[in-house]
Amino acid sequence: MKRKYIIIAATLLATGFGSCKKSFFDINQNPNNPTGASPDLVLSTAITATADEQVIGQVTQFGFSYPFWQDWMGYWAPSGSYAINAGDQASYKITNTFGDFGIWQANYDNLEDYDYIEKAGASTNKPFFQGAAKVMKAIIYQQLVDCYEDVPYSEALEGTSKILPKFDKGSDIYDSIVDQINTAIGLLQQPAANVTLNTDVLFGGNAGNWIKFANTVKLRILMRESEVSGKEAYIKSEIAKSVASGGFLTNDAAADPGYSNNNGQQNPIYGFFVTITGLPTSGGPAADNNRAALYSINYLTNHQDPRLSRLYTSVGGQYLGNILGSSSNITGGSSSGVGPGILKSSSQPAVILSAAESYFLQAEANIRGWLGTPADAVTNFDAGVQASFTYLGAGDATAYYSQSGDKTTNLSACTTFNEQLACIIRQKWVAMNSITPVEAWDDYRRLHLPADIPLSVSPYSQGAIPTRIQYPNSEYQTNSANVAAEGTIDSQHSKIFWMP
Amino acid sequence: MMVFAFAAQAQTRLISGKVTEKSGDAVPFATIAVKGLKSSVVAGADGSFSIHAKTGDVITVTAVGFIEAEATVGSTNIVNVSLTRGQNTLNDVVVTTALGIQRQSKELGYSTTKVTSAELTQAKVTNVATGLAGKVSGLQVNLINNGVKPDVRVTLRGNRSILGNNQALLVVDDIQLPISYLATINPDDVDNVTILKGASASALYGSAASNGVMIVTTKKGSRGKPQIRFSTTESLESISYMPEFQNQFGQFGGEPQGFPGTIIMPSEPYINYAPFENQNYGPRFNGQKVPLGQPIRIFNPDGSYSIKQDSIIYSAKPDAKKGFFNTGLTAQNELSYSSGDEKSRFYMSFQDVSTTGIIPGDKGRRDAIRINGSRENGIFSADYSIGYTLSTTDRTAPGGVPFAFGTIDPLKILGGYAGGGGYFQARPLYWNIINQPADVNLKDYRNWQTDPYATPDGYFNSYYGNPWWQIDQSRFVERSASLLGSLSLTLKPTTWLTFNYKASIARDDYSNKYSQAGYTFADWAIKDTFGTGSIPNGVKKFSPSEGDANSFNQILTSNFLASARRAYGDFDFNLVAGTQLIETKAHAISTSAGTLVLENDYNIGNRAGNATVFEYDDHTRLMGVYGDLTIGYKRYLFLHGSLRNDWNSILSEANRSYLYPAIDAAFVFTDAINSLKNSKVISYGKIRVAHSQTAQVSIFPYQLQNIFVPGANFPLGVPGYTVGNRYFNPDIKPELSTDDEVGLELGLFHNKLSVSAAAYQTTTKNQTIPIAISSTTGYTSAFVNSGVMENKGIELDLKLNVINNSQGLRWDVGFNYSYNKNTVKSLGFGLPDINLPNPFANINAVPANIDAAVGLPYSQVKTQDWVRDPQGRIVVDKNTGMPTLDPTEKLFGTTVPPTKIGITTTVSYKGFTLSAVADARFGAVILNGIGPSLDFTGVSQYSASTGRQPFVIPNSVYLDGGKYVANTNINIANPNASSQTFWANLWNTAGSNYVNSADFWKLRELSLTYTFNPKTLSHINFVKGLSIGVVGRNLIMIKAKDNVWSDPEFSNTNGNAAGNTDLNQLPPTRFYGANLSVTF
Repeated sequence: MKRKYIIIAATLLATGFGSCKKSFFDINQNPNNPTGASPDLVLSTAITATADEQVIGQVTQFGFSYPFWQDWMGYWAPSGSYAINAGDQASYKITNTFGDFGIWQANYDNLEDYDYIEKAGASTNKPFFQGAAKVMKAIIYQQLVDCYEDVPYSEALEGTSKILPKFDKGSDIYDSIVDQINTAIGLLQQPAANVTLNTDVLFGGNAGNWIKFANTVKLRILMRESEVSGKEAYIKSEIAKSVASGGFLTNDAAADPGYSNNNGQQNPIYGFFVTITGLPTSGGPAADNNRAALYSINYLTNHQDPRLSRLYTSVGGQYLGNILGSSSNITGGSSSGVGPGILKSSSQPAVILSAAESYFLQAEANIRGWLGTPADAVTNFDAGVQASFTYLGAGDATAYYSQSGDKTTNLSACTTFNEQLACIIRQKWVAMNSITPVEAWDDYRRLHLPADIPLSVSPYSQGAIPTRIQYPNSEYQTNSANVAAEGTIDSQHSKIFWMP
Repeated sequence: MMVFAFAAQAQTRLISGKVTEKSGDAVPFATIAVKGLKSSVVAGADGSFSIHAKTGDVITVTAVGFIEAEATVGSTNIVNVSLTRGQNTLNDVVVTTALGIQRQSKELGYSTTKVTSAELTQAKVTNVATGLAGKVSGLQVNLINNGVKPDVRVTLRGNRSILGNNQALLVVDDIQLPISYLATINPDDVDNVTILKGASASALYGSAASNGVMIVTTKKGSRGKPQIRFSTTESLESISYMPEFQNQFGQFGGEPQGFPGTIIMPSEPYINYAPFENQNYGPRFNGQKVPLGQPIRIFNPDGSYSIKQDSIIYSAKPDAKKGFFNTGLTAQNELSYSSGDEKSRFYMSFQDVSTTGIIPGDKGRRDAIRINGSRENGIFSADYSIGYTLSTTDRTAPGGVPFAFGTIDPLKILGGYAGGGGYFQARPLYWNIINQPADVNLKDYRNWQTDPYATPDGYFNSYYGNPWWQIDQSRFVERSASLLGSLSLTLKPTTWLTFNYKASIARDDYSNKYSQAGYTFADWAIKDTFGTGSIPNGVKKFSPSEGDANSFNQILTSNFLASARRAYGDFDFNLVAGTQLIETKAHAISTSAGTLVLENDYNIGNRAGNATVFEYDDHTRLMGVYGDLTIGYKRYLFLHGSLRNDWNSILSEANRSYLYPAIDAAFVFTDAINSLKNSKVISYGKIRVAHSQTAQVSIFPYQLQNIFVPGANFPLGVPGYTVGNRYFNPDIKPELSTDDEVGLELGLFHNKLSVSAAAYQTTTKNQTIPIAISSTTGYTSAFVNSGVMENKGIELDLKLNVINNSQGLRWDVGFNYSYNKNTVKSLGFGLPDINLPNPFANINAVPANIDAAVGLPYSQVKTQDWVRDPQGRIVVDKNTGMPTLDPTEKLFGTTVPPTKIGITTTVSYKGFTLSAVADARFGAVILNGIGPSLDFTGVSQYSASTGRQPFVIPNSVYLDGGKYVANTNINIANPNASSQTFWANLWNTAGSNYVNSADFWKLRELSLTYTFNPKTLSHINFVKGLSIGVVGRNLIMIKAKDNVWSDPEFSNTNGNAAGNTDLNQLPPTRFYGANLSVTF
C-alpha cells in the first residue's frame, strides 16, 4: 500500500522533471518589439528625425522652449511673459548642464539608424541604402562639428565594443565626410540605386535627387571652409566634381512622412505652435513666448519685404516685435507671432535643406570664383530670393530684388566683393528665418554677417553671441577621459576650426 | 537517497498516535521515546507519530516549550498524548521556513524572526508592511508617501543589487509574490509573519529570494467552538507638520518690476503688482487692505457687467496652507468566523476599509474576502485558501507622472499617458497649494464655479491655478482586483513520509482612468489687463484629455514536495526534495488622448485625432528542483544543507540553468552541556553558522536582444522603426550573492531576557547593470554583468520581561538594533559611479541623481554644489557677491540609513494593555526637492532668512590676485529685485542646499486596549469577548534640525533610487483612532 503511494509520488516527481524540456523555456521571443527591421522601415523614421532636428532641436529644450538659434539670430525674441534669468538663451549662458540642446544625443541616436541602414544596405548589396545613409550621416556630422568642433567619429556607433569612443578633430571629420559623400554619389550612380520607395520620405527613392542633395550638402561643407587658409584648390576641385555629377538642389529637400493633424503627428514646427484644434499651443511658453524679434521686423519693413506678413503675424494691423533679453517686452500673445508662411499646415513637409540655401551657397561660390562665373552669382541670388518667396507664399520676387540701389536686396547694385558677400548672406539670413536658423548662426560665426545683429540686452548677457556649444553633461559622465582631453570650453570665445 | 533501518523486535508492534495541545492543536516535532530504550522518533508537523513498543511500555513525549508527558501503551495500537505548555517560550516556536517547510526554531542555523498577529495589528494598521516597521532588526520599511494609496518599500539587510530588485520576496501561504501584493492583504487575516532575513534562510526559494523573504501565514481557523469576531476601527489622519514657510512677505513681488498700467500698492507707490511665479518676493506685510489679482468682470443676468477687484488684508495667515487640507478618515470594519474540529478547520473573513484622504475629494476603499480551510481524512489532508481583494482609489491626478500598470510590479511595466496637474505647467496639486501667498486663505476660493474671484478666469494668481479647480476637474481613479488562491493536497502514507502537492494562482487585474477637464477662458480674462502673461492669456482654451490603462499580472505556481523525517539512534534526519514551477504572464494595454471633442465625456471615442496606444506582453517560466537535508544529533546539534537548481526562461539557453547551495549548522549548547542544563543564568543558548549562495536574475524578459521601436509618433503616413537606445547583451548571467552568517541566541534568567545576535556578510557579484554609455556609441545604455556590492552588518534583538507579577502586572520591552555597512566594491569598465534610473531625476531643473559609487555605500545623492575653495568655503564674485554653480555634480552621502533602532514595549494589567513602538534611523541623507520650489516662489522660510536685505553669503570667499580672501563685505546687492533673483533663480539651482540629514526618531505606534474580563461578560450569553482601545500612529517625530521640509522616510519612488522627495508627496501625517472588537 505504502509502496504504491511512493511510486505514484515518484511518478509525479518524474513528470515534473520530464516537462523540463528544452522548448519549455524557449518562450523568450519578444512579443512587444521586433528584433530586426528592414532598412526601408528604418529610413522613414531616420529621415523624419533628421528633419525634426532641424526644427525641434532648435525650438525645444528639456520640454521648455529655448529656441536659441532663432533668438540669437534676431528672428524671434521671448515675450514679456517670462522672466529673464541667468540660465536661459537670452543670457547667452551655455553650460554643460544646460541640457544638450537636443543636439548631441538626438543626433547620435539618429546616426545609429543611418549606420544600421548603411550596414544593412551593404550586406544585402543595395547601393541606394548605402548611399542615402552616407549622405545623411554626412549632414549630421557636419552639424555636430559646427556645434562642437571635435566629436567622436571614427570610433562612434560601435555599441559596447567601443564603449569609450575617442574624439576626432573637426577638420578631419570635415575631410572624411566629403569623401563619404563622394563615395555615396558613386553608389547612387549605380543603376540599382534607382528605386521607388515610399519610406524614402525625402525623394521617394529618386537617386538623381539624392545626388543633387549630396552635392548641396557637400557645397555647404566646402563653403563653410571659405575662411580656412590653403583650402581653396581643394574646394574648387571638389565643387567641380559636384558640377560633373549632376549639380545642386533646385527644390527643397523636405521630409514628407505624412504629417497629419493628430497629437504628435503634426509637422514639428507647426505642432510646436498650433494645437490640433487650431488654437495656439499653450500651457507653457510655446506660442505665447516665442514672438517676433523687433530686429527682423525692422529690417523687413525698411526694405518693403512682402515676406513680412508671411514670416510674422500682425497684431491689429501692426507688426510688433520684442527685444532679446529685455525685461519690458510685450507679454503673451500681444506681439507678432510666427506667421502663415512658416506655419502653413499640419501636414507641410519639414525642410532639411532648402532650395534657397542651395542657390545662396552657389551664389557665394560664384563670387568667390569657385563655381561658374561671377555673373552666375546674380542668377543664383535672384533664384534664391525667389525660392524663399515661393516657400513662404510671398509671390513674385522680381520687384524686391530689383530695388534700385538697395545693396541688401539687389545683388546687381553691389560693386565690391564685400558688398556682394554681405548682400548674399543678408538674403540668406532672411531665407533661413524659422526654417534653418542654424545656418544663419554658422554664417554669422564664419563671416560676422549680417553685421548688425543685435546683442541681447539681458542683464546676465555674457557679452557675445556664443561661438559654440558645450559638450553635454552626459558625455562627461559616460566618456569622461575623452571629453576631458578636449580641455576647457569657452562658449563665448572657443572657435570651430573654420571660424576666422 | 536515504536508507532507514527498521529495528526488528519480535515482541513489539507498531503504535501510532498524535501529540496535541489541550486546545486540540497539534504539537509538531515532539520527541517520543520508549522509556529504558535508546531509540526515539520525532513526530511530524501535524503531531502524528508511530513507534514500535509493546503493551506496558511507558513512552515519554517531550517537546520544547511543553511539560514532558508520559503514557502507557495499552492494548490498542493508538496512543494519543496531550501536552501542557511550559514556561519556556523562547525556542518553542515552530517556524515556517522556505517553501512552507515547518521546522523548529532551535534547528535553524540562520536568522528568522516571527511577528505574531497581535504584534502586527496592535495599532490597527491597514497595510501589513506598516505594522512591521520598527519591530524587526534588519528590516527597513519605508512609507514613501501618505494619502489614500500609500506606497511602501521593504528591504532586508540593505540592498544587494545595484539596479535589480532589492525588495524582499513576499510569500503568502506558500505563494511567492512581489512585495506590492502586501497592500491587498487584510492584516487581521494574518496569523503570523516570519521574516527570513538572509539568503541562507531563503536559498531554497530560488531566484527571487536573495533579498530575504517575508512569509505571511493567514489564519486557518481554530479548533473548538465557532468564533465570530467583529472589529471596527475609526481613525483620523491629520497633518503633523508642514514645510517651514515665511510669514513676513507677501505677493507684490514678481520678476521684472514696473509693468505699465498695473496697479500700485497703496502704501508703497513704487511697487507694481506683478503676479508672477516668484510673487512672494513682495514687501513686508503691513496689515493694510490691498487689492488682490487683476480687475475682473462680474456679469449680471442681463449680460451687463461691472469691473471689480478683490482685496485682502495684507498680513500673514500662518495656518492657511495647512488649513487647506482635510482631516482624513479611515473606517475599518471586519467580520470573521473561525471554527474547527479534530479533522477540519475553517476561517473566513470580510474586511472593508474606507478612507478619505487629507486632500479634499481623495478617497479609497478596499474590500477583502478570505476563506481558508483544511480537512483531514486518514492519510489524506487538503488545505485551501482563497483571498479576493477589490481596491479603488480616486485621487487628484498627480502632476506629470507616468502611469503605472498594475500593482504587481510597477517597475516592470511603465507607460501610458503622462498627464495630470491642471491646465498650466502640469504642476502637482501640492505645488499649487503651498506656493500661494501667505496672506491668502485658500479655503475662500472653494466655489470656483460660482465665485467670480475663484473661477479660472478670475482667480488672483496669474501663474498657479486654483487648486480647488484641479481637485474637481483632474482625477485619477485606479481599480484593482486581486485573487490569491491555493490548493494543497497532502498524502502521508506513513508517519515519517509526506508528499505534498500545491497549486496556486495569483492574479491581479488592474485598471486606471485619468480624466482632465478642459476650460475655455473668457475673452476679457485672455486680454490680461496687467500684461502678466497670465494663465488665461497663455492658455486661452484648455482641451480636456483622458487616458485609460488595463493590465493583468498572473502567477501560477505548482509545487511538489516529498519529505521524510526519521530518527535513528541519536540521529534524526529530515529530507525534503521537490520541484517547483512558476509561470508568470502579464499584459498591459493603454489608450489615451490629449484632446477630446466634448467636455465631460471622458471616453476614448470622444477624442480628437489619433489616440496614443501602448501594449506590453510578457511570459516567463521558472523551474526549480531542490533537495534539503537536516541531520540532528541528540536534538542539540543540527546540520542542514540544501541544493537547488533553477531553469529560467528569461536567460539564454547557455545561462538559464544555475545551481546554488546553502549549508548551516546550529548547536544548542544548553542542551548539550550538562552543567548548563539547570543553570539559573542561562536557560537557553544556541550558536549558529550559515553559508549560502543565491542567484537573482535582474533583467526582464526579452532583454537579451536589441530591439527596434516605432519611431517617435510613428506610424505617420508611412510606417517606421528606429534602433532601440539600449544595447542588450545575450550573455547576461544571474547575479550571485554569497552570504555568510553567524549568530547567537540566548535565553537568560529563566528566559526573562532573550538575546539574539547575528553578524553577516553578503557579497553580490555579477551585477546586471544597464550602464549609461556615451550616446556617441549609438546607444545610451547597455546591459553588462559587472560590479560587486558588499553588505556587512550586525543585528541585535533583545526581549526583556521586566515584570510579571502575581497581581497581573506584566511589562515587556523589546529592543532591536541593526547596523549595515554597504559598499559598492566595483562597477566595472572603470566607472566611478552610475546613476540609478529615476523618472524624477530633475527637480525644478535641479539635478537630483541617485547614484551607486565605487567605495561608498549604496546609494548616494548626487547633485550640484557651489564652486568652493580648497577649504570648502563658497567662492563668490568679487563684485556681485554671487556664487557660481560648479558644473560637476558631487556625491553627498547615502540615502539608506546604516543604523536602525527599534523599541517596543507592552504593559498589561488587569485587562489594560498599553503598547508602543518607537524607532530611529541614522546616517542617511535626503534631497528635498520641495526646497528649490519654495525658494523659487518665495514662500520658504529660507528665502526670508536675511529679511530680504542685502547680505554677505556666510563663510564665503572671493578670488583676489589668485588668492582666496574671506568675504566680509561683498553683499548680494539690491535687496528686492536682486533678492528674488538670488533666491529664486540662483540659490535654488544648487541641489546641495537641499540635502539634509534624514535622521529621525518616530513614535510609530501607541495603543491602549481594555479587554473585558470574560467573567464580567458572562451574563451576556452570546458575547465571549469584548475589547475597546485607542490607537495612534506616527504621533511624534523628532527629525534633524536642518530638515525643514518633509518626512525623511518619504521618497518619490519606491524603486532603488529612493531618497528624493518632490511635490508629489504630501505633508507628513499622524493617525489616531479608536477600536472596538467583539467576539461571539
